[in-house]
Amino acid sequence: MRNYIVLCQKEWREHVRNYRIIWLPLVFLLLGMMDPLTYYFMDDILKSVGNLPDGMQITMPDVGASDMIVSTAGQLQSIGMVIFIAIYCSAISGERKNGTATLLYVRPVSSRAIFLSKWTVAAMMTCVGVFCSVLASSYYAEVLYGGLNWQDVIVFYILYSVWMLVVITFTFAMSALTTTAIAATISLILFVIGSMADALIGTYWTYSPFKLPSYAVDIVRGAEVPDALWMTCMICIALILLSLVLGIYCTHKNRQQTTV
Amino acid sequence: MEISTETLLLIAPLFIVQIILMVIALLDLRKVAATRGPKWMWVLIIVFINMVGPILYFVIGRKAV
Repeated sequence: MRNYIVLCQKEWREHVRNYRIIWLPLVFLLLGMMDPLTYYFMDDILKSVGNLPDGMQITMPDVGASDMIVSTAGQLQSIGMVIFIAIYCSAISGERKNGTATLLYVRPVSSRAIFLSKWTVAAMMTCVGVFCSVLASSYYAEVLYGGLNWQDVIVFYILYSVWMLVVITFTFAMSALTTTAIAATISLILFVIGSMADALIGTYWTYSPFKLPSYAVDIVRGAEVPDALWMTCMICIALILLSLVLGIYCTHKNRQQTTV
Repeated sequence: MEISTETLLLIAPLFIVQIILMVIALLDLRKVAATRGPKWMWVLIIVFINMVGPILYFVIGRKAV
């Protein structure tokens, strides 16, 4: 337990030293701010850069506060996910490659502590990142459009964090299993392409973990809570646990195979 | 197009966050030992590509130490 805490502190310090502690929340704030502002100023933007012919009429779809959260969810689902996968795909494999992992392996530190300490800090950053996005987006939605149901937004945030944790944890497990490049490729293909495929052909498949973000969006939209939500949530949590176990096992394997 | 104070106040956070990101990216670039590709290229990317520049630098530009 003590080892775990010390390793967490080490991990935290690394995040501070490479400024990740500042830039990650800021980037996600930007992601959250972009959409409500773009929608709100769409008229002006089109006027100033659109070069539209005189007298042209464009009818904007009527958007409300909850639509802003929905479109921010779309941003998170594409850009946010890629950022998370890109920065955490090298979490374990990178240390193995440059040799710092060996320094840890020769100490009486359990593989569980090594893996979990990294994961804990990453999971925290993930929650903070998603929180920043949702906060910025809902703040602007409330200011510009008004009438946001905060309770729904909180539920959305929790569900979306769970989904991001699935992504992060799987990326971590892959990072422990293989090299950085392969981990990044597998995670990107699985989550980015997987979500698309699920949106296209997964209509009748209600229990897929890829459905969690869209269920979260449904809740914010004010649609009725899908029956499959709890089951999907459980599947996601099970996936997180499974990935954790896989990651710890792979860290342990790496440790045995390493040559000093 | 006239820009009212209200509008300015609305979009001010956007600019502030962007500038902070840019400054942090430049500070980090000065400190870091090696980047993927030449450093001056990253300076240009960070300064001139709005919004995406610093993100690109942080995500793919820095070499994992």
